Amino acid sequence: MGSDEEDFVFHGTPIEREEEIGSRKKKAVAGASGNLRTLPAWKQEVTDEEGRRRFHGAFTGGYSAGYYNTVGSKEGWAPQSFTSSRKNRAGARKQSVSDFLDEDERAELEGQSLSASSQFDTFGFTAAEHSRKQAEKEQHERPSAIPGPVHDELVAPVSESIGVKLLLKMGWRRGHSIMDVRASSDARREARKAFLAFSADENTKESSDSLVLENEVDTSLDPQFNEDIKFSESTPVYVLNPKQDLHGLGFDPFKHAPEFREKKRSRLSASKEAGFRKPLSMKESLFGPKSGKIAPGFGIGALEELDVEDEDVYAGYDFDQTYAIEDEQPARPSNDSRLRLTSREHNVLPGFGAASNTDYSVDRFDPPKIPKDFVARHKFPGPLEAESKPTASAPPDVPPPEDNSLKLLIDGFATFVSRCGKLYEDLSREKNESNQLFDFLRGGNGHDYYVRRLWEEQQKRSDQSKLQLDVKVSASVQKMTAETRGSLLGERPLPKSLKETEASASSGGSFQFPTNLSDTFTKSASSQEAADAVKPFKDDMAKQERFEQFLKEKYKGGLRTTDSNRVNSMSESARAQERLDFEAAAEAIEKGKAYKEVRRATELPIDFLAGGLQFTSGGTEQIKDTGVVDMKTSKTYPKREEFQWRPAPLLCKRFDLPDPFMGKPATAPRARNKMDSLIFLPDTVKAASGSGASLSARQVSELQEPKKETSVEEPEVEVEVENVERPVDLYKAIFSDDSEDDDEEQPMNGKRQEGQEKKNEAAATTLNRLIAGDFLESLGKELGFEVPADVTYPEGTKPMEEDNKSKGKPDASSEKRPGLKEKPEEKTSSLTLGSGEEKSEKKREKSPGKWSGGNDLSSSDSSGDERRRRKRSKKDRHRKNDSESDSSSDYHKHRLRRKRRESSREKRSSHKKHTKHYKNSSSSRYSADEERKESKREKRRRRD
Amino acid sequence: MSLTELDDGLVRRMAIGAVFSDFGGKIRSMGFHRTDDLLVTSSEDDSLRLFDIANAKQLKITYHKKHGTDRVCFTHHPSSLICSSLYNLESTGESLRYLSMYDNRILRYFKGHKDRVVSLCMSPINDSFMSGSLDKSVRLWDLRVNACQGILHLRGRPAVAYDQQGLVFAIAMEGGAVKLFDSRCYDKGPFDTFLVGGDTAEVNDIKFSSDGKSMLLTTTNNNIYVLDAYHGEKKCGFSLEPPSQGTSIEATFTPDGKYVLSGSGDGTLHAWNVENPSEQVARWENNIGVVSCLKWAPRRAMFVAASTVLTFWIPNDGETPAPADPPAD
Repeated sequence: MGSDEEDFVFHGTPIEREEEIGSRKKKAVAGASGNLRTLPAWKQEVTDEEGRRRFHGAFTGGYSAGYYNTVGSKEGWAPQSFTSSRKNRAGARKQSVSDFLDEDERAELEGQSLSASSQFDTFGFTAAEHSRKQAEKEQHERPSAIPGPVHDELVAPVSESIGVKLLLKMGWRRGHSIMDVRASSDARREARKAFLAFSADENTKESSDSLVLENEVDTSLDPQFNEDIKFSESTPVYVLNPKQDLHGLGFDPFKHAPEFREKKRSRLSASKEAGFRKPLSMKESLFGPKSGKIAPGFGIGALEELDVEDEDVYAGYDFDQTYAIEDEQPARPSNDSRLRLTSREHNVLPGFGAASNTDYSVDRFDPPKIPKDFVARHKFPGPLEAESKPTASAPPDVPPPEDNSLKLLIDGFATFVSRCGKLYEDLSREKNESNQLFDFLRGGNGHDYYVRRLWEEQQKRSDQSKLQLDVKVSASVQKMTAETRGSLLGERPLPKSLKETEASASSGGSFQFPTNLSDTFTKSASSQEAADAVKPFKDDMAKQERFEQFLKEKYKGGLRTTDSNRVNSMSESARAQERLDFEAAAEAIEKGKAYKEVRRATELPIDFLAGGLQFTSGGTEQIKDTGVVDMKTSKTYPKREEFQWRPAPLLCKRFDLPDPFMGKPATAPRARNKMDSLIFLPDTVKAASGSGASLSARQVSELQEPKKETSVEEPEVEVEVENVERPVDLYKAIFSDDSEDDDEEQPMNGKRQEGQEKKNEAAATTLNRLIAGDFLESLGKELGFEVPADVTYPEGTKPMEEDNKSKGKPDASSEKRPGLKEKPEEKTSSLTLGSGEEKSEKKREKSPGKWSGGNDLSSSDSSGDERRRRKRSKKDRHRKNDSESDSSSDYHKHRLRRKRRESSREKRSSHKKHTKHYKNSSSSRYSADEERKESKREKRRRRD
Repeated sequence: MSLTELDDGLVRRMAIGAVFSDFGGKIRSMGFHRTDDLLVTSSEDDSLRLFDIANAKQLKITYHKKHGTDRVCFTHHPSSLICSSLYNLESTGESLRYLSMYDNRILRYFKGHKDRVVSLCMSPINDSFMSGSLDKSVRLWDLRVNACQGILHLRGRPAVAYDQQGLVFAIAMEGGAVKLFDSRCYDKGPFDTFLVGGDTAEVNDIKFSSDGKSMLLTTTNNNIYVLDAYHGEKKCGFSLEPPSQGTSIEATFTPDGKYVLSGSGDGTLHAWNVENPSEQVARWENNIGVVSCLKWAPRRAMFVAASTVLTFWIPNDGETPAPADPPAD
């Protein structure tokens, strides 16, 4: 039978079996109807119409998967889907590129590229860029009569990061490397020396680091010149490693054998070094000391011995000549041109002989003659001029002209001229020939004064420049002053300088007088005068004296001890009262002065203008400067304050960072003048003066019970505000004299200062209620603290309001008008986490005062806690796993609380009465957690 | 013409470019779409009107006689809005409606407020929005869900605003208090609270500037405050003429946050530079009465002022900086 079959000859196509076809067709049908589509892509089989398996895309997966490279469709483009025209009146649908792209291509196109999402793109590079593009696009898309779009360009954040700005300010320019010039070049020189020493004996083992290679070249050049140009800019890679071969761009012959690159480099450098000395032979470099005779290009196996066969029969032939095609060097780097010159003499092209005499001669031009008096350093006309004849002759001291504006003009001009040099003066004299205002330049009105001012300014400048020379600040690197940095960073200048620019009194900044210094200085006539002119307390000399002292403190900066100037004989309350008087009086004087200022401009001493100094030139100038300062300018000397900077909570939110100070007691005050807050003018912009008893406060983070860190400073004493005074405590001190709450607060803060208690008590007696009653309300509001409900009814101090106070979260109740009496339960706001169920919502609404969303921080009534706890434990029974995740999510908060709980635990035991109020959400929450755990444990026990 | 910056000159040059005066009553509120050139107004004739601000065309008008129209704001979609109701609040509780302007359908009711909604604000980043009502509560909603997502009970009239990033929202309440909430975890309570000292009047309206650095508070006693959004310090304050009974004034930032514009009770418009608040940048007589609604378009150099008529203000590039141009419409 078998043999029979072998004899058969088949004609035509054999008929396929029925079922075979059937199954294939079925498959095809099934595939078409999408059954197979449900399979993952890699399990799907591609079949043709007949249902046969189709092999496609050998490189992308063989047999697998649908229309991989065909936009998911057989046709290779996305067929348009039918849209009913009933609802959506069809316009012609435009096809876009994306219709013809595969998924992966689309993903690529649509930019899965990594970039900061606009939401967290803090510095706004991406956002700005994006918005600009968007705006441009829109501009084309929506032509309109109204110019726009404004929005994005306008609010687009600064295009440069602050780092770039700072660098630019520090003298860095774009395209230059960020390196300390001197340091790096020094280091390099050292390295170079060491390297030279090292390579002297071992010439062949040149390191081939590209940088070093460069150094190698550099050494041959003039070192000084080289340094100047070399390191001042960042060299692009293509300059560091110029393309010197004949390979195609981007082709790297050593891609898979990087070790050979080193070899090549070393050869290069070696040849350079020796001035085209004969290149090292390949044998040497490749196989080192091992052989002298091995044929290049043929290695021997690891197991083979080196034998006769391997010997290089062409040993005499220098293979490098042929081998080095790959390393062809069409061009040497331009910076070793000198080397090339020399090398050319020795190495003539093969087949050419060096001519003994040429008719070609290079035209060499002599360098320009340098004048004898040339100094190889640029001279800036302004300062140096001043420097050269700094004290030529001091023009006589002249009172400024009557006209205030003229005075200002002169001042400004003098400053400018001293800065820009005499040239500017001449220029502007010509320019303003006809201008009456500039008469002073031509010896007219105010000329004397101008001369004097100019002299002063020059004096100042020369001092500065001297100082700078002393410090040896190189002229090119502009030193950044605190001011420039400040302005760069957008810091608000100190009030003093603000004032100054307003008055445009002098050009300089300000500095601090230590107290003793400022005391030794003779007082300016004007300030003396000002103080003398207005003597509000003439009848009481002692008081007047204190007032003057007060003024001095107020308007002069500096460190002073708190006790030195205190009059101990006075009672606290009297002192407080007096303090208020003084403030009012000072204010009045100030106003009067401002009014009179213009009128009395001529009377002002001229030295008033000399007060300004640059920040940078600080200390030394103090002696020169007589410290005679006008009231106005000296008004707000900045005090040196040290405080912990803490970001605004909103800032943390914006940056999406956890607030590092969350829950910590406020130490950094929003510095505010107490008096400003007391005498509050609703519609004026306050220029907060830095001095005065700055009673400052800050909200304690809402989540936490505040540690009652206080430093109630007596209003009379001027203390550098370090710790924050919280008005609540002031209230407390005033209105609830019972020592109980004092005790209660005490353990809460560890940082509380010694003697704080004393101060508190002092404050308690300090302000009598009648004075306080008027302004405390506004004060409290101003500072963002809860005003006890019964401020105006001091007898009504009850534990209830204490509850209010001790609650850390200043919730809606804080806005309660103090006059209103309401139960705290009614006041507290509650934000309910909806969770959809209206019913429970209502239930919660009935007992407001807690966050029913699970973070019941404001809860204060324990009954609510109880209820919730019950509820929660019930919930636990239903889904016990939840509690675990729940608690873990709360971990952070919990941990924070635990810390405080520790501290408050003993207190809780000792003050049973207050526990209820005192234990805030944290403890209740904690107990809730406890309970939950308890119930869980119990449940487990039961189950077991 | 493309602008890169708003400056004093440009602000001064703003003049009426178009007027729509067929409103049957005063305009109660209006809102711009954040990205599209669309404006929606709600007026006393219970209509919502949709405008194309780029071409100053009225696109659509729909009437809502049953519920009335009060506060209105766009959602992210250019044809769907949220509008608060005026009528039948007690009986139905349908104080907020999610409307589709396209087919004039109510997509959803948001029930909860028992009284008029006075402040309505859509999150710029997601589907949540906020409403503050005279029933002394602020509610947080999600467009996708009927039920309220969160309630905050206050004392007094609230005003709400999201900042431009949508990360934070502010609630201003009686007593001049401004509370800042993290919109992702608002249930943890405000993370910061400011008090606008000295003014305890109710806050009509609060707005964030686009750069998020400032807040603008308009109070019922016609003061406008620009607050530093980080620390709550008052940057400047402006006092305005009180309007006649029953109307309130509105103030707005320019998109760059540099200028503040406001209507005033005497029927004028004012502009100030926030950096230099002592000088008024511009003052316009607008001839349309007391401006109750004033908003600067988020992406255009234009603003819209409304009383009983709606006026579109654009920079006048003609020679004369005369503010009151003949209406173009």
